[in-house]
Amino acid sequence: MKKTNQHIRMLAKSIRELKRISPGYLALSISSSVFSAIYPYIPIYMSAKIIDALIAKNEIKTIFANVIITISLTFIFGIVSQILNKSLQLKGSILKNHHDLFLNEKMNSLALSQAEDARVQAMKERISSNANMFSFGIVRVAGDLAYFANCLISVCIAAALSCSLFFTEQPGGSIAERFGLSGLLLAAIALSVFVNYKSSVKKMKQISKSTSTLGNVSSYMAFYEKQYLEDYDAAKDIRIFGHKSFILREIGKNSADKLLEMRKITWRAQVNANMASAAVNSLTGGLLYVFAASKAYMGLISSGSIVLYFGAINRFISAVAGTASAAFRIRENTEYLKLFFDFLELKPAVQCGNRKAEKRKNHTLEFNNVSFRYPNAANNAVSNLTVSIPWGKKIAVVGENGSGKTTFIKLLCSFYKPDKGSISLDGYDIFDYDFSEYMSLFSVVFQDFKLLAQPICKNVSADDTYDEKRVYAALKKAGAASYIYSLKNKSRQFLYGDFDIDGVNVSGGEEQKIAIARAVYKDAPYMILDEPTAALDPIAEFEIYQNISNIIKDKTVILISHRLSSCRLCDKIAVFDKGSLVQFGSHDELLADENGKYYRLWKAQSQYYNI
Amino acid sequence: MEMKKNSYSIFGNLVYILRKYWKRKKSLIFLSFAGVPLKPLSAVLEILIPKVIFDSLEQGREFYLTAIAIAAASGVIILSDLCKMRIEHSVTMQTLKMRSSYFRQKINFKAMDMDFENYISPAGKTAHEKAIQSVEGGMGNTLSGFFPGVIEFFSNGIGFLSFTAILMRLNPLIILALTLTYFFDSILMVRINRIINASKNERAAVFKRLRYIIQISRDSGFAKDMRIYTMSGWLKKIYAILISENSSLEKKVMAKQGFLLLIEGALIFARDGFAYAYLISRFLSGDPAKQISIGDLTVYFAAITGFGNWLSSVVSNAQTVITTSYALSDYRYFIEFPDKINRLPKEGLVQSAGCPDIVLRDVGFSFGNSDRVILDNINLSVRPGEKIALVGANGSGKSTLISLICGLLAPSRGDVLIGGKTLSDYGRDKYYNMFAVLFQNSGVIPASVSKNIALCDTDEIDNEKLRKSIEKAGLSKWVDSLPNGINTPLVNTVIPEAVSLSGGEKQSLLLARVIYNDAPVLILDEPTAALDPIAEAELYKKYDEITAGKTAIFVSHRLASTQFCSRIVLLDNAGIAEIGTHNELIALGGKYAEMYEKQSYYYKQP
Repeated sequence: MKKTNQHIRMLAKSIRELKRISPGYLALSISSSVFSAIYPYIPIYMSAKIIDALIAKNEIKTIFANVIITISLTFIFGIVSQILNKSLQLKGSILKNHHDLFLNEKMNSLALSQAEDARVQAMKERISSNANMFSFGIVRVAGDLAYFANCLISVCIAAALSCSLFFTEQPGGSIAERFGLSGLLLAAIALSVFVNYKSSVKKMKQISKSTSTLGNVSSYMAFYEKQYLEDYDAAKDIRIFGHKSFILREIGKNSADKLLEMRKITWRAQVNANMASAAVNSLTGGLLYVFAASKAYMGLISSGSIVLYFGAINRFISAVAGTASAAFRIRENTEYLKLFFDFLELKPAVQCGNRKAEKRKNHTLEFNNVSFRYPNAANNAVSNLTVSIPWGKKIAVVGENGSGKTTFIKLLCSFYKPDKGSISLDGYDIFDYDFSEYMSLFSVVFQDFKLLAQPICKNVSADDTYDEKRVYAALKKAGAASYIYSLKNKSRQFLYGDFDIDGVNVSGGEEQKIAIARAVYKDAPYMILDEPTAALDPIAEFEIYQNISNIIKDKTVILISHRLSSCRLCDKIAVFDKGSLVQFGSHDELLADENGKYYRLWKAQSQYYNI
Repeated sequence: MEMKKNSYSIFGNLVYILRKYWKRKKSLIFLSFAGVPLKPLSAVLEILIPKVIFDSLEQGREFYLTAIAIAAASGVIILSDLCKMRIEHSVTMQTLKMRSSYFRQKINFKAMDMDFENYISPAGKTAHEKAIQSVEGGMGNTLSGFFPGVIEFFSNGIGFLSFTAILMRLNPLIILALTLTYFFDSILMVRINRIINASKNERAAVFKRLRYIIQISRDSGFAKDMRIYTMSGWLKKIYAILISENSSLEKKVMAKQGFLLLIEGALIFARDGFAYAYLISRFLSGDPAKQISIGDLTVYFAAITGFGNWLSSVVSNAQTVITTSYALSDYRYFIEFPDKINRLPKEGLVQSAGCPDIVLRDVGFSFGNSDRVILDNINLSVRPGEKIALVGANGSGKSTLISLICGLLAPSRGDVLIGGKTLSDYGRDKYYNMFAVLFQNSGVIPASVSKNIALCDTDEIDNEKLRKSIEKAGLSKWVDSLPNGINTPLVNTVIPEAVSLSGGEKQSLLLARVIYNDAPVLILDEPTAALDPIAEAELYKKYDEITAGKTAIFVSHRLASTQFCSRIVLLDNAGIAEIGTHNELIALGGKYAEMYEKQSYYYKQP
């Protein structure tokens, strides 16, 4: 009983959610099932009347009136239920297509640490593939309920039409003879219901056992079929290295083959259950035919009603089977709905307060003994980091790979929360601030930045709306204006070909300039540039360096770069090594320390330019 | 490169799919044909049962005889239905298996195997997208529904014919009248399907956008940008546009199908009305030749309405067959997309040992249907074993030149000769074998470190070679620090226990990959962009070692690299602007000198 409660509660929850995402879907489903449930009974009921009228030699007028009623009702109900059905198909297919977008929106609202967490990603992938490959989850709720309603209504109508078969007067005979055969038949019907239900339950157990073996099949499929096989760079690799057979085997081994196995098991379970039900249903049906015929023989029912009883009983049996199957489908879906809601109800891992950022001429930003380790990592990414970011200055951050530079930035942006210590802005912990208030203070160009296949001007304003003049100014500062305004649609040109077939495929360097323009457009007080010239040629890089004073006037800039030449532009240099800040000072100060890390880094790179 | 659309007929597709199934799953074909008569058999017996009872009543037959007749008929119906279920199940399973293990794999293979230029062309991309659509979805609109659709068509066709036979006994003219309505119905259906199919390109485009936006959300770089620049509002608007585009397309399709349903409903109305009128008049007729019994009336009426059901089933099957045939055509169109570059070597090709020379003779290139000249008049001679550097501003054509040299693209004009022979002399596959290229944006796959480097199954890996490659790429310390060494999996968005790579670690891994590949021509495209100064210096120190015995091209913005290359090639304005040693080009005082000056500016001591 407790389990049934659980299913009902999940169903109620999913109905509420469905009403929110796709209003009208449920109402449409139920009305459709009412019409399609009634529709088949019209000819059954009316033809019985017509036959009886013919045999009783009623007036032609009456007979034809009945005919007109029959075909009109059939037409109307038929058309209405077909149209409702098509609309349902439409709504269902739209919901399915938007299911993924909907999951995306949720993902976007989570903290970055969750978005980067493999388990959360796997959860999303499973929900997505459950819906796309098997139609499990929320996409199925309306259809399941409609099916259930349809069968239930059908059962009621059929029972109402056929129950009189069991209550006909039988002259003579004992009570046993009278009700014996009826009793036998009712028992047969009860057996039929029981077998239907039991085989459904067994089927469900087998199916859930096999789907639990799926593991991260959906993640693999998402990776290969939605990403890797559509990626140009992967396409180049595959051809030059020639490893396509290897890739096919990887895909097969990790996803396709497993999926097939699972499908085999679920289908076998289904067909066995269906055959058991079909056999017992047909036997019961056969017995009922004989029973009805015998009553007709005894003159207890009219000839016309034979047709009525046959039709009604036939439909009764299949509607009963249908109801059991529909109930099973609803039960089966519960666990997929649970996964869906567990995902939807994930709370952002990083909780922020609602303090507003003060509008001041200068801010203070400090790290106080911060230590942090990534989940599942063996060592700290940063340890005991204490540093104050001086306002209005340009600070370079250098160090070997893995020294903690990027982690430093991610912590600064409040993407991750320190395990020890705290980061404060104007004296308050950064997590006390409202998230978007805090974010408004930073313009960042990350190393792995991404631009969207949208118009360039929108990429620069990072929004649907944009100020044309401001866009131009930003592109000019970033050194991209001359190229972009030479394009056919100028700044309204789409990037890449994914949204607009005429989208332009810009080079890596131009991409970088547009990303810089985006940071400039935002005009935030703190600007963080992570390898901003990595993809630029020497001349463009020099341009950026020359422009940097323009770009960063009145701002505080943190510049991470492997190109130590950029350190000459900065007021201070922070040197990281193995998660700690080891040196902090001006270029000349640090270079003077010939035992220091900075000296080593500088010499390694500049040796090639000092010939 | 456009092939004629719809050059695949339904019959041609049927032969094609039968051949595929015959080779792999003969049982599928046999079972399908065996199941054809079962549905009509049940249907015919079902409408005869009431007649048996009515006639027995009228003629006063013994009840037990009637009971036996009903029992026998019911028994046959039960058996037939059970067989049908079993067959349907088996057929569906086999069909699904074919879909994922054969058709899907062939699409994946083709995407990886076709000419690169075709793969990135708009025509190629659309064809790929449509091919994916042809296997993703339900039985009603994917290629897997084609053969079952044809079988159902035959099954329903037999039902239709058997009911026709029954009606023949009533009045042959009825068949004629009913057939005319069928004819009209099918013409309408074919026209509507043509319209639906014509919108497929549009729908492919909408689906592509949907998939793009879903895929980009997986990108970790995007996740950060989205939060920094609060792009969620913008994304919501994009989602809304996609949703409405998708909805309106779906609505159009459904509206057309709905219109067809309306027409069919009207036909049924007329048909049923006529049937009732005609049969009642025959029942009430005083003429013994014309009169029919009540039993006959029920059979004929069921036959006429049943005829209508068979009719709409046949029509709907035909619709499915047409739609799925189009899907199969999309699949075949993609699979048979012709390659421009030949795969097999020319006769008598003798491949010389050691590393080859590279000669570009008057090479020019533009993309298939574009006027924009990316490269023109390229003449270059690289000696065997020479190490050259390729530099140039962004957009100067470096990537295109690399693609031309390694054979991903074929030159529009001129020749690329490796060891004195062209791409078509070698054939594509042999040609690619000569190259190992570290592309700028290559990625890793969700597998172990060793598989990512060797790009083959574990039992085919040369472990000693693997170890050396890891060492030469400067990865040994990193690999040792991993929880499972070289067996540690990568890509933690797919495998939770996987490790994530920093930019520098990934670049070193890709370097290990090209080292392991050990091809005679080595091309490195920006191999140090993500490396820190110390790792970068290490690479330069090892460069001679890595490129020993190979012809090598080093593409980089970092002009420090040009000092261990014998010559520098500078691309500008779609051509080779300058070529020579570092000192020669500095003395020339041209573009190279300018770039070097600007890059070294901040390194030179004050």
